[in-house]
Amino acid sequence: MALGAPAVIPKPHTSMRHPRKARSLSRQDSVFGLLMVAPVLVYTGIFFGIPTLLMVWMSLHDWPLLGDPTFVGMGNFSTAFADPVFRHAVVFSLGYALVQTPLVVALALLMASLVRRQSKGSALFRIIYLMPYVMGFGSSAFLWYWMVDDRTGAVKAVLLAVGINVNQSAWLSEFIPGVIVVITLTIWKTVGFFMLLMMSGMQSISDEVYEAATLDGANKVKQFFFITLPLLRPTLVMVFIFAITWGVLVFDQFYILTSGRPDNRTVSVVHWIFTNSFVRFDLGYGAALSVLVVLGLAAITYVQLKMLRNPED
Amino acid sequence: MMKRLSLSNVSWWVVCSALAIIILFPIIVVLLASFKTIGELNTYPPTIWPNEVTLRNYVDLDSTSANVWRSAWNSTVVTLGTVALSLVLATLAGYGFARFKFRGDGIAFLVVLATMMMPFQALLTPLFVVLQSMGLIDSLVGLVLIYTMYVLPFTIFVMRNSMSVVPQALIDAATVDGVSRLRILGTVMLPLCWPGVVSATLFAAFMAWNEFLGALILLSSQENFTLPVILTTLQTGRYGQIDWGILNAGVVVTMVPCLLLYLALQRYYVSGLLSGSIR
Repeated sequence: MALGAPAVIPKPHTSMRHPRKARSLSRQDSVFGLLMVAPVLVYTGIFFGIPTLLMVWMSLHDWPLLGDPTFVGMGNFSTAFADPVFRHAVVFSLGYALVQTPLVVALALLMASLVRRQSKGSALFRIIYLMPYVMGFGSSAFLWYWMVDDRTGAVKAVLLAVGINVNQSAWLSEFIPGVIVVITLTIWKTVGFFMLLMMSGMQSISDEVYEAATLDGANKVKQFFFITLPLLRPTLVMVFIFAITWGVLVFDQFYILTSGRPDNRTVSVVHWIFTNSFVRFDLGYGAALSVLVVLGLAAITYVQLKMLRNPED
Repeated sequence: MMKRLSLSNVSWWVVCSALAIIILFPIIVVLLASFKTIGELNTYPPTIWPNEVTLRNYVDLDSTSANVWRSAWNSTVVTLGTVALSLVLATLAGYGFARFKFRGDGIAFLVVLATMMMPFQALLTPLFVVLQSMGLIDSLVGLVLIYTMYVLPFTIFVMRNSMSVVPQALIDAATVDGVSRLRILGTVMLPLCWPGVVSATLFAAFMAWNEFLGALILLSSQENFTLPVILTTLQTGRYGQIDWGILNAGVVVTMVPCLLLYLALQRYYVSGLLSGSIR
């Protein structure tokens, strides 16, 4: 759960294993190893396994906060498919992810190419660019809430200082301006992380490849498109999956900045789950929506892996 | 040649600095705003630099109906609890996965990592019911339990990786000396794996300090609110009027500890992020 959806699950590697000694010792070892891992397995069972099964079970019920649940079969799911807010939230979250992702990826790619060389300056800029990433989305959203305020915010101050006086008063209550603010905030906050991933991918491309290309007369732009991008493919796949997943699951920024305005048009899928489970206390319906989100995201990730996979594999 | 090189160098500095200024801008302006008087914060046109510096916004953080310092304490408790619980669990499991062979170890490790693919947001509805049955709704302990689950796969992964590369000879030497397996963990492994411990700690701490949705759902009484949640009550304001001074000071109190921790330990944070997401 930690990072949303990592692209690559590492293979458990076998090289560091104990050399097998006496049989009795090895059996003791295996009991000890299991003992070490057991607390985590039990913990994962309680706080991951049970909730996962419970989510499916709840989705088949009318499940109020207090009182007994009633079995309704697929009732919640048919409600969901007919629910206009949910349908809009799905389109909105997907659309948001699709607009947001290319922007943040392109900017991160540019920044990674800028700071990938080894120098004191690069190291300094890397540290700066990653700073917003360690702040929470919650506090960042409140910071931006003030910053874009029409009467008191810093954006207004800067715009006035350079002689631009636009009417910002409706930014967070109108659809397009509100979404633009959230996209800008999200890029600001996450671009450093994606930059870091891509920079690390770029550093693993050997200098010799570039030297050979330079000898063959390829300029920097050509090198970027014909060497860097293709060799960066595995990193890019991962970055895309992260960005799309985070985009589809967006909540904090929209909840704090636009809270659904105008007319529920900026209600994301997670926001709608939140509303149904914890504002209306219709937990069965919230669970059904959660099941749909899990399945939908799994499908999206699978399609991305298929589409972005190296054709030569 | 020399001239072209230095020119491109200059443009590199210009572009990178411009990006740095844009990225630092929100952080700097909110820091400045948090020291402005309430009068200045409400004047039009707004200022960037404070005309008059005051600590009123910080002093008053606990005098409104929403007590931000109390929330800072709650956030500290939740963060320390999450770090402690997840580190104990992840250190033991990392040791087990890195150094011992047992039936099903590969599958167990995959299962632990696979939990990362489940969106946390989707699991909150059933987790609420699980915690309800344990009587842990509106409790910081409940929050620590779910945050620990959230950070476990990553912290286990980091701990296992750093323990895998400890030379076997050191462990053999300790074993010959009659040191028990559990003591080896404390005396040989952990002293050598502290960069991994720092990475895991930072990851867990940032997550627990900043998490919003879970805390919003699980905490219902204001005296239990963590920092990100208390900010929602400041945003609404009393009498519909937002006290920008308090809100900005609240944002600063939430973000500054993260920034300081990151700046002090960024090397470990970055290597942890990279080892956790690539591979």
